[in-house]
Amino acid sequence: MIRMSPVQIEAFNRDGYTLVGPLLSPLEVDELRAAHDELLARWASECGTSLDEYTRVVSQWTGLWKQHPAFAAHVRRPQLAAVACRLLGAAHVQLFHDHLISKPPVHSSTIPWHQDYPFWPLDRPRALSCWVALDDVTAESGAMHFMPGAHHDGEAPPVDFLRANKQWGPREGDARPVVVPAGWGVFHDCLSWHMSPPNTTSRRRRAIIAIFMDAECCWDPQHSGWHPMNDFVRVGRGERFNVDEFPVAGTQVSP
Amino acid sequence: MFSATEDLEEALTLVCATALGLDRKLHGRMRFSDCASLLTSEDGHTAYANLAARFGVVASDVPTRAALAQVFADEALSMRALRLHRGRNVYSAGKLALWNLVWKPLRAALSPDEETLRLARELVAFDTRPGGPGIASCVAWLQHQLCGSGFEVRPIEPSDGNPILVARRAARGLGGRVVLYGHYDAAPTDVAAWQSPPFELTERGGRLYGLAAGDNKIALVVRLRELARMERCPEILWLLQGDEETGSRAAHRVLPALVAEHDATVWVEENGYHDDDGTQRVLARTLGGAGEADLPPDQALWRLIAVLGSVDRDFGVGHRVESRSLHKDFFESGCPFNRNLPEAARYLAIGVNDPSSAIHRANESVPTWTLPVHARQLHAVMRWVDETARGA
Repeated sequence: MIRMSPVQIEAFNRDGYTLVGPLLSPLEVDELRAAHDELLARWASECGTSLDEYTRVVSQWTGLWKQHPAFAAHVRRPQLAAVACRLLGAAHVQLFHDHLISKPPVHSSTIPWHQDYPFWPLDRPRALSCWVALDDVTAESGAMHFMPGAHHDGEAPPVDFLRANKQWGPREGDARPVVVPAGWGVFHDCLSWHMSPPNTTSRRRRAIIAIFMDAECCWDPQHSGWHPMNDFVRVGRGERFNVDEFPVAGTQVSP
Repeated sequence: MFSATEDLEEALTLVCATALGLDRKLHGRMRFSDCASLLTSEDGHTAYANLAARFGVVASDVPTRAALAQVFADEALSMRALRLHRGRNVYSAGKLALWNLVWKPLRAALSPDEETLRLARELVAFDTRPGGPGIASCVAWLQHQLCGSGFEVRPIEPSDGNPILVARRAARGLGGRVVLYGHYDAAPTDVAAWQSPPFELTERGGRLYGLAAGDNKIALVVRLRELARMERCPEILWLLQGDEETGSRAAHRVLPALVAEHDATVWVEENGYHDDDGTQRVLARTLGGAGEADLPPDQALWRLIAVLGSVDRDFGVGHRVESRSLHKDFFESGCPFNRNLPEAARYLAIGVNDPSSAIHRANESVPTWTLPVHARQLHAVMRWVDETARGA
């Protein structure tokens, strides 16, 4: 079981993110890579295209835990939820959703500075992303950059990804790339500001992300009416999320 | 990220409508697949390339038909993956590629610039309804903007109304004189009936919403913006009043003398309209002897109408002409500008509104695409004034 040090917890609260690991063994990383490759072959076939063409274009998938047992097991790993509970200070956490992002070599682009929470239909910013690298992530392969402490600025309007070009002024130099070995994870607050440059290497840069929310969070479609997860909600506005689609993933454990 | 999907669909629709001269009622409603079919067809791509050429886009920035077909096909694959197994381009990268390839080269030509939108946000934010708390600050703001653009502004402060601003700017290298009319007050409104805050300029579905957006703050802002950046311009007299929505009592007293002491090559109304399908409704007339009598445009004014029509063609819309004034007889005494135009005056009403502008109603708005049309036409008017004044 991962033990969070006070320094890591302090860093998360101060900076809005913290690097934790190793979370997965090399074998577990290999299992997830293999599961993804298996799914890729199936998906390309579904779309009636070649694997090369498919992976050149499609690079992000949501809800993998419902599509392959390896990912179902991943989002239920007790150590991930335990860290999430500890960092959020929550008694229980639920999975909001998972997704896998593969920044392909050559064909990727910059993801501009943004916060995640403005896009989520949650009634409060009590959630975080557990971003686990499935490949060694270097500055050249599209490492996430964070603006330390910017989550304390609060929620900003949702970023328009087609026009976004946030200027940080004097804080520009504070942005930090986070290099992550395969099997390690970055936990980042839902209000953290982050971006990633293109992958300029010849290697894939895959990461599996589980978004955990405090189980006290309630559904608020007015906060984000378009979000794809709204289709899976079977409770009313202001009620806690249904556990069949948003499973309880873990409980606070003693540090 | 998904709000940007709507932006992209609006942008693609606008490009298609402008390039191919489609009915503007389609704006914001075309499906992605329809845009893809149109712009990647041989005729559609030629129309797109011609549109880019009309607005001076360098040839190297115009995507080839093959490049367009590739990005549309990629995005179609991404959409299929989303539907089948919740896959897509990472954070809509395919949409970004389309945005950069198709829209970016034309964005400056087909949409208002940031400065125009900033001015519009500021002007709409003033509550200038009758007795509104924003009237004094709005007048100060207008004076500041006008003075910053080289106007000398004389405020007339009647005891029974809001200030009338008389703004003059000497010629900047062009002959002739233009008299512009406008007003900064807004009609009363039921704030609760608005879908977005009436004093907050809101862009939605290819339109700009805000109280007095159509009557006539957005047209006023486009004029402010364009006059500020005209290096060459005829002499301008701009009359701006603040009581149009309550009967213009003070303006009826003040404007006759102001009008009588000026001659102008053309007298330009506060705003004007496009039809639902985009066709511009040019109101142009010459004044007969009896006040508001509507005579057809004279030869010079027809030349201007032809020039305005060529701007319309660049934007993929047609134009038609009516020899009358803008309808705004909400009060018995009528409009103080229209009522006092001198005999033989050339009158012109062009602007940014359309039949959905909902003047004096909740959710007043203007279509965004008309702002750059109006901006370009203002420049064309000034060049025509110079030619006409010189007898060219």
